[in-house]
Amino acid sequence: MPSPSVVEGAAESSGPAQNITGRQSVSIGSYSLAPTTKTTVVSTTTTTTTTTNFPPLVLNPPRRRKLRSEVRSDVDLFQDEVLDPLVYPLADQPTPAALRSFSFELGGRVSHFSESANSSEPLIDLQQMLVDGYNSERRTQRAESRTITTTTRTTSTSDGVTAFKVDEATSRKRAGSPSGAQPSGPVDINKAVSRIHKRRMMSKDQLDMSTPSLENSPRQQDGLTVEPTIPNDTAQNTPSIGLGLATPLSAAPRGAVITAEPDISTDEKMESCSALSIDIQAAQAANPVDPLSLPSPSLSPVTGSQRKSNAQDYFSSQDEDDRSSVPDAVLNSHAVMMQIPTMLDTFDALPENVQDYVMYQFLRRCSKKTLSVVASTVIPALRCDFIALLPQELVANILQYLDVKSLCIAAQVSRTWKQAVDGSLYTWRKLLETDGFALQHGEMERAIREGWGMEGWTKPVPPPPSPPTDSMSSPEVSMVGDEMEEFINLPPSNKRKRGSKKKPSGKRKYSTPSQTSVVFDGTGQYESNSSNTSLPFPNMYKAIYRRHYLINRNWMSPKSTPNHLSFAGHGRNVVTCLQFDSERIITGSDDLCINVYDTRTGKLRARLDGHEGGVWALQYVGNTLVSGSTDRTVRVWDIEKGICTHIFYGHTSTVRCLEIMQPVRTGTTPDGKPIVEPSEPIIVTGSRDASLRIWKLPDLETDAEYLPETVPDNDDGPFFLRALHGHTHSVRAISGHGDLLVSGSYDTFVRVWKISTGECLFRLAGHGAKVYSVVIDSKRSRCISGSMDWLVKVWSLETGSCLYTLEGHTSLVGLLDLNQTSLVSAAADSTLRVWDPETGDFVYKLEGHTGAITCFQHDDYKVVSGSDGTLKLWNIKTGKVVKDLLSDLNRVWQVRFDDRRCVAAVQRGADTFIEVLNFDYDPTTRPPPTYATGSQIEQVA
Amino acid sequence: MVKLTSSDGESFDVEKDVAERSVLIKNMIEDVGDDSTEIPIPNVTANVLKKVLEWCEHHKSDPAPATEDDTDARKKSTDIDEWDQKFMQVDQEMLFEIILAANYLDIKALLEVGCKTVANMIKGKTPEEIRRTFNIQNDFTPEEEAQIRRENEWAEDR
Repeated sequence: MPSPSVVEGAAESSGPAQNITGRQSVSIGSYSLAPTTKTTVVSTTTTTTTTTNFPPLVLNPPRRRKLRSEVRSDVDLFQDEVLDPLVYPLADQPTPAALRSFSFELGGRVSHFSESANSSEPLIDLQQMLVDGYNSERRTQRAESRTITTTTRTTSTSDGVTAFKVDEATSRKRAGSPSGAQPSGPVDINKAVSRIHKRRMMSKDQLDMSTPSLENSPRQQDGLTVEPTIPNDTAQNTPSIGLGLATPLSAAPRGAVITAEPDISTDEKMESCSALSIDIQAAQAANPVDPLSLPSPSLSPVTGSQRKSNAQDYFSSQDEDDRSSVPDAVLNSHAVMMQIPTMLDTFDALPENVQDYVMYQFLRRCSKKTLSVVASTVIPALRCDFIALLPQELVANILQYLDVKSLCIAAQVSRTWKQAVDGSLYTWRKLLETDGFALQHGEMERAIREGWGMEGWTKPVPPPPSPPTDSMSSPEVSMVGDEMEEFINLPPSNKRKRGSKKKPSGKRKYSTPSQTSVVFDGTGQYESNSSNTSLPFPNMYKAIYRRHYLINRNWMSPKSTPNHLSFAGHGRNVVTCLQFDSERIITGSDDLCINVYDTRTGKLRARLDGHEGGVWALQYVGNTLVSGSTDRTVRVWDIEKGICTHIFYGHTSTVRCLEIMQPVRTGTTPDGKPIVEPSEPIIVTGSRDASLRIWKLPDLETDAEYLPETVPDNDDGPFFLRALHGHTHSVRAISGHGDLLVSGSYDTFVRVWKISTGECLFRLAGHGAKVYSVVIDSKRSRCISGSMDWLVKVWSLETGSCLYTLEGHTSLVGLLDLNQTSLVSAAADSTLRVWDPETGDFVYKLEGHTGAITCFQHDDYKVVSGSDGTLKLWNIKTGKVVKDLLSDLNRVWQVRFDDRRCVAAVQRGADTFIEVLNFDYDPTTRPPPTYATGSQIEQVA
Repeated sequence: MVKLTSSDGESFDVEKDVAERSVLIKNMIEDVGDDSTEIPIPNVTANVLKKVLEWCEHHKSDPAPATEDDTDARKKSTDIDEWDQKFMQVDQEMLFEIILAANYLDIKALLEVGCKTVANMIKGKTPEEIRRTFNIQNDFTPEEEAQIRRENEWAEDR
């Protein structure tokens, strides 16, 4: 059997005629009518080797049929009405391309159907064809455009009833619905044919049904109608034309209808159904002499008994000899109703894509009201619980696009959704990353230990029922992919890159929904849980996220009241530098001392004494603190022991800035090995002596102390690596990454150094006054400098050229701070400015302070800045001030914050205080403040 | 041209660069080393494959997928290109099938669009609206529902 060619003869292609070639060509068989019966045999009989094309199947445009109120026997019972497209939105729509052409199998043979885009041609063609076909009994014609080609094998009728013969002498038989044999009604087509040329379809007279049994209910529905005189009727609603397989030809919408009447007692079996017609309105008069048997559309068959009893077949053709006995409207509509089961049965029997087509034709006839009913039925039926049905990795893929609010809403949808959302560690870990809430070292362990949950973290919570590792591997916990392994084995800091790996790999096999849907154990497990959580094991990433989220909200809410700790320190002296973590706050002062305080209590844990001048720079890593002083020395301290372990001499003036540089991965060698620079932790110091010095950072565990009693002559000591010379004035600021170091100097230049060799790569010239601040942007391979000339400049580290000059400040730009998304500059003009570090574009001016900005820091959400009397919090996403964190101060010397706390060194009255604002509280469990000030201040003596 | 055969036996002749939007197909072509071989796509039916190929055709000239970093940066955004939005205006069943097919065929950008589309259907709705959207039964008891609400109310706007 020839394999079907797909969508051949598709209407949209250029000339319909050329589509129909070869096996697609239409063979018009001669029609012969068995004289003995008047049965119209609807048959699609073909030879096994022949592809048969059937005459066009004309589908009329949808019309509204109304029963006439006054029934007259000599006129139609129905009145046609063109459908208002506003009410019948699909009526005028062309059949979608997807429905217009298809192939299907019928009776074991492959058939094609296609609808032409241009309706008139086929009709004309059909008309001609009919005429020709009628006049000469056998004829082959090429149909143009849409054709249904059927290669259905049919059995020929035993009675010799009709036969729809193909040239090849095939007898064709009407293919019936698979459900069984159905009698086909004979149609006497003689008359019709004879009139075809001369008559128009409209009159019933055209119908000459020779079959007595044919009742004429007016058929106004479209169906298989042969429309002999096309042109007129096609004007309004273009009929859809199909060349149908065994499909009856229909005349113009109201033309003679040829239907195969089922009631004829023929032995024929319908073997294939030409289901293409929606409504059969065959308009053919039967010619006794030369009857044309037309296949009955599948919709029309009615059982003989029905047919007879009802005498009205809604789908039957209108007999031209209109019987005066035409029943009244009631009877007609009753008859119509009686057809419904048949119609449905027929529909059931159709191949799927034929059903698509037919259904579409139905929809065209529907008003909006009906379509609405259909939609309300169809749309829910096509809804799809993606979260329950998709494989887990795809669910995670969807969830990653949701923000926290949507995720928390999604968790409340159903048990399956709750499990999908709350069970996915990947989703919450990813959200921590995207929202900038970096997981801190040891935080997971702490969260588990302290039992952070969904309703609090500050209240004491009983420990989890079982050790974390066991819980994680318990089957109730659903994790995505290898999350479990990651979760257990990898430190949080290593998890960053893993996320993308989660994206499903392409070669993954489909998982069937049943395999992939998450089974939520909604019974015992669910119920038996503590009131604290509904999952057997809480998703700790969600708990951690929740905490970060709420702390951030505490920060950013204008009304929140942080826990406030305030304590005195350094007498009345300036605090020149400050660094802290959750354990300790370390401050350097020009009182020569470095103080170490307990972050929680404010208690002084250690005082690092030794410098003989004011301390102007310090930084610590772990237990190792490095400080620089006006005494020209660099000192290294053991913080816990509170002792100085190393003293580096070399600078000949004040050490004004310093940085500890840890080895970082800066690239990959050609053979794939990571490049780590610097090769060991180092200290870089900048001094008023115009030089920079590089030192090895002592390891307090393994390196011996180095505490020379006096300044060594011509000996820089065992930790000195090299000095960088080039600046001609004080080095005021430094910033380094990997093997690159950037320094800014009062000589107005910025220099770029290669640390490992000491080579000066660039001298960046452009500023017109002292450079006060520099920051390296290693990701973009740039650096940024702020100067007394009011300008901020962005430089390329690759070419040494100035990329942008950021103008706007009206005084010395003393401070810069950079993160991935924003660059902030602070100036003596009492403002801060936010810039886009990528483009150099100005974003916001933070205006509100009244004096020079003395200190500030920023992150993705906020800027905290200190000036004369206040410490302000700004929303970096709006550029607006959120609130004053501290006010009524004389000076704000230093400020630093981490995710939970803000620590400031201020002067209140004449004395220096350290202020700690702690935003780490659960607003959902914290009792509201009972005092009016709104600030919970705890004074430490 | 490459010939693809859907699970239900329909064949599609597709330009090679269109078909190779699918990493799976690309790899198969490379493995076979012969463009003229017919490639079976056993997990995708004709109507879905047709739709997927329509997308591939429109996106055949797209630049190679961005680097991982850029991908991460885009993650938060659920913005969808206008053409893709229109393309995704299909019933949920079809959307479901497209996502599965994109995953199976390893067409990352299409998978991304599909998943974003679903995410956008979830966003900004109440639980009940989500249930209606996807025809989901609320299988929580009233007590459970109240408890789950409490557990998640911290994320609500205030």
